[in-house]
Amino acid sequence: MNRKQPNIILIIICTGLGLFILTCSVSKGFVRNLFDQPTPYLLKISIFPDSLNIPADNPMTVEGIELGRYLFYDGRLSGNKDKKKLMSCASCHKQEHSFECGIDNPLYKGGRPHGLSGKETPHVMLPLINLAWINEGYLWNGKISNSNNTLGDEKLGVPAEPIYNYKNIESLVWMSIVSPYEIAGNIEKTVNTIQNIPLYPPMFKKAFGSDTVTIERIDKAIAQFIRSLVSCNSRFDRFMDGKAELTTSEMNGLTLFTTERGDCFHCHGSPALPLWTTNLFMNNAKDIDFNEIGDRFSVTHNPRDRGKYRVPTLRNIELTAPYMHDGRFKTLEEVLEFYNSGLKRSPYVDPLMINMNHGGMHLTNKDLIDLKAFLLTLTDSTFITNPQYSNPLPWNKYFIK
Amino acid sequence: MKITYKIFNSVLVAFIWYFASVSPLSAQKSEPDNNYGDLSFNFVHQVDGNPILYDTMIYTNSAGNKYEINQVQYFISEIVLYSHSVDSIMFSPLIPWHYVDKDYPNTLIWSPDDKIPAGRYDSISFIFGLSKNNNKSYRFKNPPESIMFWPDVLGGGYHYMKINVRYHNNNGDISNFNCHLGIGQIRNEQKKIIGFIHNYFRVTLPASSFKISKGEISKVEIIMDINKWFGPPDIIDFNNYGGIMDNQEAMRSICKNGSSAFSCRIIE
Ligand code: HEC
Ligand code: HEC
Repeated sequence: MNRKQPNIILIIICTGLGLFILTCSVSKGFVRNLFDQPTPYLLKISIFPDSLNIPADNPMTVEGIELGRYLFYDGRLSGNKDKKKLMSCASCHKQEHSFECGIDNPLYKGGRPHGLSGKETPHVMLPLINLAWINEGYLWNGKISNSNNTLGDEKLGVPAEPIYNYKNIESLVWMSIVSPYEIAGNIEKTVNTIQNIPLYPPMFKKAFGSDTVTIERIDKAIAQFIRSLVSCNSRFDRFMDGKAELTTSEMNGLTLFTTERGDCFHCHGSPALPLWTTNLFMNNAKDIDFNEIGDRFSVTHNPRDRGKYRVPTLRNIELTAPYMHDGRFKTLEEVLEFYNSGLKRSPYVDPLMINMNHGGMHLTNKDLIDLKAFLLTLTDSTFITNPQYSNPLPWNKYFIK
Repeated sequence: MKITYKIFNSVLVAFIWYFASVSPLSAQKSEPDNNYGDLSFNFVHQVDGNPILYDTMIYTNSAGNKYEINQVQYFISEIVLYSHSVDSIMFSPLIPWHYVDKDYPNTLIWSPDDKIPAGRYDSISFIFGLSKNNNKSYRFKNPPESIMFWPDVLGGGYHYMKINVRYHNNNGDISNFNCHLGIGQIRNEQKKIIGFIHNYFRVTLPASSFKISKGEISKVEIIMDINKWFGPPDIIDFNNYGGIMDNQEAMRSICKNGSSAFSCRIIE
């Protein structure tokens, strides 16, 4: 009977609360404009997992990403203006190859890059796609992770300070600048060079609130840009979305991939994990002895981890030859032939490699063709042409083509 | 589609929850409203009563295969607590499943939010794996659960369990065996899949009588003996298999063995 009264009170409270929230948000927007705060950038892809690896002190912003994009492509990140000494991330990480250097790269024979000093990198490349969803550790061996508490690099004269950590994508920026395999440069020189290019101080101001260039801000901006590199529009994605069809051959390839006949999905993901990797560290039966110094063992010192590497994504796999951490396979056919008949038995092999028991999958030629056809449906051609990810100043002589 | 399903499911589950946990209360109007306690589960993996030494070749199955255990991952779901004094209740219907993974210590303890009416309970049962209603493809998008994906062509949904082992094969070489369970397949004479079998089963924990006291947490250790999955009664010789995901006969045998793999310890 007197039920009505509480309802009215409720309405009044709700309206009041609504108005309050509204005023708050309006005034908040006003305050934001007053102080010229950067615009938050929301990274959310409904088909990907929820957990993003974004450090609390480096939220993504539109202005930060834009600055990062410039720096990623600007050869003066090396601290030099001399044409022969220009190098930036884009020298090796090329958009058309899912941000690897590509096997046909005129500078890096066979897809094995080298730094300004001519030293070849210890491993071949990894793509820069969907990296914000990797929580297990970056690089082939996962050395860069939140659980790594190392600071600085004595040999390279980098002091043991908190900004020189090995925790996330930010770390890979300063590391690239000093690494003898990459820029082989000097952090101070890079910071000074960037500070003195008129283009940058206003961009730093927009992104970070003041026009002072620091290595920490360079790290942060480039890391933001890399996190914004998202690939989720392959033909297979459109198929799952009901917007594209697969051929019989591609469908058969999917079946082989996701059943124990091919048995790729236990490690490389599935339509239910469309990052197309589990990002776990595995040994996939390539050798009998495992002595490579940069494997997972070098990070954990657990003898069971010999010959383990992070399972790479198969998205855009068509574009990222050569394959495996050492680039031993030049084509997808070679990779599939390896899984078909080249698996080597050893106590290090992951137990998920059940096909090791018989040296491989032993599929027919037709099945191998179908498996490859399926892998090609994971190519995202809109990613490699997305203007947001491309060189912002292609006509500028310092920017890496 | 998916969202509507989710909403429908939550509503359904909320209903079950309402009837399961509220109605016993209303039956005992004299009880004060806060006469509840909590229940928490620990998941323990053993062989012959001892904690497992992972990655160590010290176990022997009923077929005489020497083996080591590398991975243990599984779902249990739809826990029911039986009581003749407070009625049976379906426990934690809001999250009707729990994923256990030996590599993620946080999955080895499950303390749901549900408040349980105080009293003595006679036994606990749960579904090993995911029942037909819960085993829907693409339900989990986050790892590690999403890595349990079971291929649509083999029936879809998720693996109930992955136990991965290495063993010495008949030639004395190291080999791999994957004890992966999920939906099974019915094949015709041409080996074409013509139907599916849900292999999940309900486990009633032996000697699982326990007490819930007002305002207190009762703990139940759910113990799985890994070796029991491999027989008896059905003897699983690893040499005969690699994977078994599309081998319904093997999955049926292993599920049969598995019903005696569980025991429990009550820590009241
Ligand atoms: C000389 C070529 C080269 C240059 C220049 C270079 N990289 Fe790389 N990058 C590589 C190689 C090779 C790897 C894989 C190395 C490994 O894991 O051992 C890699 C890996 C990475 C990864 C890890 C990807 C993953 O999946 O874990 C990130 C992030 C990255 N680079 C960012 C950068 C940034 C930022 C720059 C510029 C500041 C840069 N790279 C410059 C060659 C290069
Ligand atoms: C036990 C886990 C496992 C299984 C099963 C597995 N892979 Fe791999 N795969 C890996 C790992 C680990 C690597 C990287 C190894 C290295 O770099 O040395 C890899 C590398 C690859 C690469 C090269 C990627 C690159 O960027 O260089 C391709 C392609 C590939 N796998 C395809 C497949 C296919 C197809 C199957 C099924 C026939 C399969 N894999 C099964 C773990 C696995």
